[in-house]
Amino acid sequence: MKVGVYICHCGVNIANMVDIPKVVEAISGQTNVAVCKEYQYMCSDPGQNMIRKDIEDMGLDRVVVAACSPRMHEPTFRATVADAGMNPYCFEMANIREQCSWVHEDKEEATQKAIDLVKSSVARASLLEPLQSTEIPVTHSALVIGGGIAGIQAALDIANSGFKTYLVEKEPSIGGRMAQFDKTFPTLDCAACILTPKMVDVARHPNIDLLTYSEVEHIDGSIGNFHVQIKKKPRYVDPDLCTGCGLCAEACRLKGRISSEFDMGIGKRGAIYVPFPQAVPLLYTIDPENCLLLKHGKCGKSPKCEDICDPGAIRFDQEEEHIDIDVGAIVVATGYNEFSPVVKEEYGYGKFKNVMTGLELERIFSPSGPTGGNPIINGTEPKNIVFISCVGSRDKRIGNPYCSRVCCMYIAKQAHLLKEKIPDANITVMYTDMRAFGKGYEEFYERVQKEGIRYRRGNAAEVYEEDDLLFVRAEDTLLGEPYELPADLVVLGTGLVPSPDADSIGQMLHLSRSADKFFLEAHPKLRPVDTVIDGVFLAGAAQGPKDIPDSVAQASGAASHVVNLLVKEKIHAEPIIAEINEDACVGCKTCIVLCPYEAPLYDDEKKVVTINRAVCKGCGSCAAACPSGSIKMNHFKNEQIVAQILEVI
Amino acid sequence: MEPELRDYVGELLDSGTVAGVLALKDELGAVKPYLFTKNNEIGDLVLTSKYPLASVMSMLQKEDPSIKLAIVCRGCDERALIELAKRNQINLDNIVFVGIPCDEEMADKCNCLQPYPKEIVTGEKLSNWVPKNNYEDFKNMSTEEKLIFWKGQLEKCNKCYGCRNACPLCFCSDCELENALWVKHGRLPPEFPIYHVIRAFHLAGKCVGCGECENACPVGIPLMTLNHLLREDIKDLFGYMTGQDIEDENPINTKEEY
Ligand SMILES: Cc1cc2nc3c(=O)[nH]c(=O)nc-3n(C[C@H](O)[C@H](O)[C@H](O)COP(=O)(O)OP(=O)(O)OC[C@H]3O[C@@H](n4cnc5c(N)ncnc54)[C@H](O)[C@@H]3O)c2cc1C
Ligand code: SF4
Ligand code: SF4
Ligand code: SF4
Ligand code: SF4
Ligand code: SF4
Repeated sequence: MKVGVYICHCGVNIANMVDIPKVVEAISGQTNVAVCKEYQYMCSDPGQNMIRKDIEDMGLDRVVVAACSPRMHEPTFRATVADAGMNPYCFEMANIREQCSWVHEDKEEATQKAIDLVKSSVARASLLEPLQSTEIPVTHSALVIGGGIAGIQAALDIANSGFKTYLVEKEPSIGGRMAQFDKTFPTLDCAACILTPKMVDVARHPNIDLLTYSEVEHIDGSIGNFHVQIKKKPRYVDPDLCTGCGLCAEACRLKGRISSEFDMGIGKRGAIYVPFPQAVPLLYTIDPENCLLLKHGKCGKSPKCEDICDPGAIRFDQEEEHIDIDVGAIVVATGYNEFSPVVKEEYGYGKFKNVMTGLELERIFSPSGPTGGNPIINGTEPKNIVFISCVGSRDKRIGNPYCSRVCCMYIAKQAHLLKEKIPDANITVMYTDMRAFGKGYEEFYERVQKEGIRYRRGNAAEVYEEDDLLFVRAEDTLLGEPYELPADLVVLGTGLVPSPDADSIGQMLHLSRSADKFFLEAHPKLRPVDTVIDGVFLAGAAQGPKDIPDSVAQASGAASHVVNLLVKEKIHAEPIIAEINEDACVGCKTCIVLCPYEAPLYDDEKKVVTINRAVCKGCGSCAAACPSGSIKMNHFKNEQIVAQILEVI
Repeated sequence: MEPELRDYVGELLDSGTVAGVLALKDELGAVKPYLFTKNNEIGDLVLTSKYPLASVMSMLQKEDPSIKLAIVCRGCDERALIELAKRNQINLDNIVFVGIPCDEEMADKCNCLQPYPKEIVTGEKLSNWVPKNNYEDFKNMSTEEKLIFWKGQLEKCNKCYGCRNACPLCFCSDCELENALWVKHGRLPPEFPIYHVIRAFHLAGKCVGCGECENACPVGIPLMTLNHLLREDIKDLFGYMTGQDIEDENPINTKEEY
């Protein structure tokens, strides 16, 4: 055994607090230590060359670098030693910066601690075993879950790189929330004009398999090789025969009787419907919850839709389909839902009909919406309009302390659109703080103020009704005085919450969630599109409240990570995983219960557990809990850890 | 109690409900575990003593997983069977419980918290039973005194593994107490306190308070003091009592869903 030990100054970061020559002196000559050197910056080229040269000249078989955190440079030095022909898993790092020089004030004590830490690493290094990573073949296709703007962008980018992409959307059409808008801030682009072409591209793309009105039921496998089961709900319409003419919807006995989800319950539809005219695919869908024939077995003498459909596309016997696909990578783009303001009782949502939410108002602006784009609320044109910001955001009391990021701007957009349509309207925005952070946002906010929209700082306390008139009570926190405004329309600037499906999708993929319940990225700054699960990426509002530009940017980022993976023929699987001694395992299943990734599998024949190597992340939970000590963690074996501990106590 | 029990058990065998009944047999004064398969042996079935029958049941099932057996069990046996089932060591579907309560003398000897199973076939369960020793003497000691107490007690240990061997919940084929990394081979007494701490930790959320370990200990180490305090902690911290219901989740082996 020949261990080479290298002590890094990290400029002055370490050398200021640790007497490095003293450390070198203490370590030289220790058991197994063949050489101990110091250098200014071990991670620099000359530093790395020093290690490589010693491995070649002296035949070192273990290397210890005492420097910064292994999170920082362990990969660097593993590559260095591998370059020189040493097994990379025989490399060990001692952290004498974050865990020593940076946190101490007494040089003598810090030096002693550095010596102990290095000794402890040498002891561990002496017991390290060479490990080989295994190669896993990659399935060259991807799954995108959610067909909002983020999912659409991700799917197009991946497909354009030449890879087969499955886009799964649970609703009858793709488009997500953006399809519900008329205009988009801050440029007031027509949403449909920029979104519809992308939706059509998705439908036409030779590499995209679009699965709408479908849900992911089950996912197993791991990076490079996920197996996914998808449920395709029956539309009761033959996709090959339906021409999208819409005669059926006109004929449906329930036409205009069922509230439309797409129109946020304001507009009505029949039992057979398309959510909106530009839907992709343009296929009619029968809603089984309401259809007279599907629900009661009888629709007049005969179903009107069937009677009128010339191509004969109506298929009441259509059944649910289950599709199995294999993919190498997954993008989660399940988006958001609007916060339900029912819990904010003081605002009277659900009680007063002229109190509505932001998304509801979006549908009023839409030319294809319930009012044909005319600003008519419950039959009349409002003249006194109040917007209340931060409803369900920045509100610790209801458990949503976060900022939803888009509400300030969509309120500005909506106020502008209302002012444009009703020039004599009095519009007041009651805001908490103004957050106009994006490109062109501050300018847009200024423009809206100049148009005569009044902004008053301080949030609304209450909405109440008197003689059929609504009043909003608030406090102007700049003037320090309470005031009240009459209103015939109150718009709640409702915040964003994760899609309710985040629970099931999150569980299937073992994804973590942040405190706000949105999906958690692998690193808030440096890995914003990755998750802790290799091969699974995030895009759009599923990861946190986001506007359209950010959703699109993140989607392209996620797609590029997917492509980086899919271009590879094979990937290397980390060998630092759990291994089970089958002779000792008593099959108590403790490990199965505790593993966060479903890596341990029970073998019914042998009555013991085996580990799915591709899935195990090497977290060690199982090994710590196994009563019989049957689980060994590669690279973190008990002997290795004990040797390390014994040197510091 | 015994005559009614013999009738009951005989009926289980005669009707073919079970292939055998695991209970204790008196063979010229030696009371030992025995698998009764014929009605004419039942006369030797006795309730005069106590034995960790759950482990025997687990072994029988491992030999023939499909066999259906009855077990004459006391409270601790039933609790042990339930905890074993939670760890995939026994299949309750193939077991018929023949529950019997312990009498006052037995319950006193064990200082048992719950000297009866959930369902009783014959006999009366002790009503308003509270064990006499609540370990107040120990609890009143200072930390230093406790350390001295345990050092003294554990120095007696001759590492016979009797406690582990008798314990119905120590079912591992490879035991960490034999791992030289933790417990040095060939050293007596074992290094303070790792041997007993490993066992205590391994029995947290598992120990059913049967007292077999303390019974087995040849040098009289008060192992039940340790077990009692551990069971109290598990109850106070997690609201968990071992061996009550197969559906109760063992708090030590669960992960928080976030
Ligand atoms: C009132 C309002 C106005 C807004 N106005 C603007 C604006 O003017 N400009 C701007 O930049 N931003 C605006 N936004 C923000 C904008 O809506 C989002 O940035 C954008 O919609 C995020 O896109 P997404 O694809 O991430 O999510 P979404 O649009 O929510 O799309 C998610 C998609 O995933 C689908 N899905 C969910 N779960 C599953 C599942 N389990 N399986 C399959 N499919 C699933 C959903 O059905 C949906 O189609 C506004 C937001 C609100 C609330
Ligand atoms: S915890 Fe240990 S003994 Fe129990 S099943 Fe897993 S590997 Fe086997
Ligand atoms: S090391 Fe972690 S991921 Fe691997 S099997 Fe054990 S618990 Fe599961
Ligand atoms: S009392 Fe002793 S023998 Fe009985 S379960 Fe507890 S540790 Fe095991
Ligand atoms: S002491 Fe621990 S390892 Fe040994 S048999 Fe008991 S539970 Fe298993
Ligand atoms: S039974 Fe007693 S002597 Fe034997 S190992 Fe256990 S504690 Fe030690």
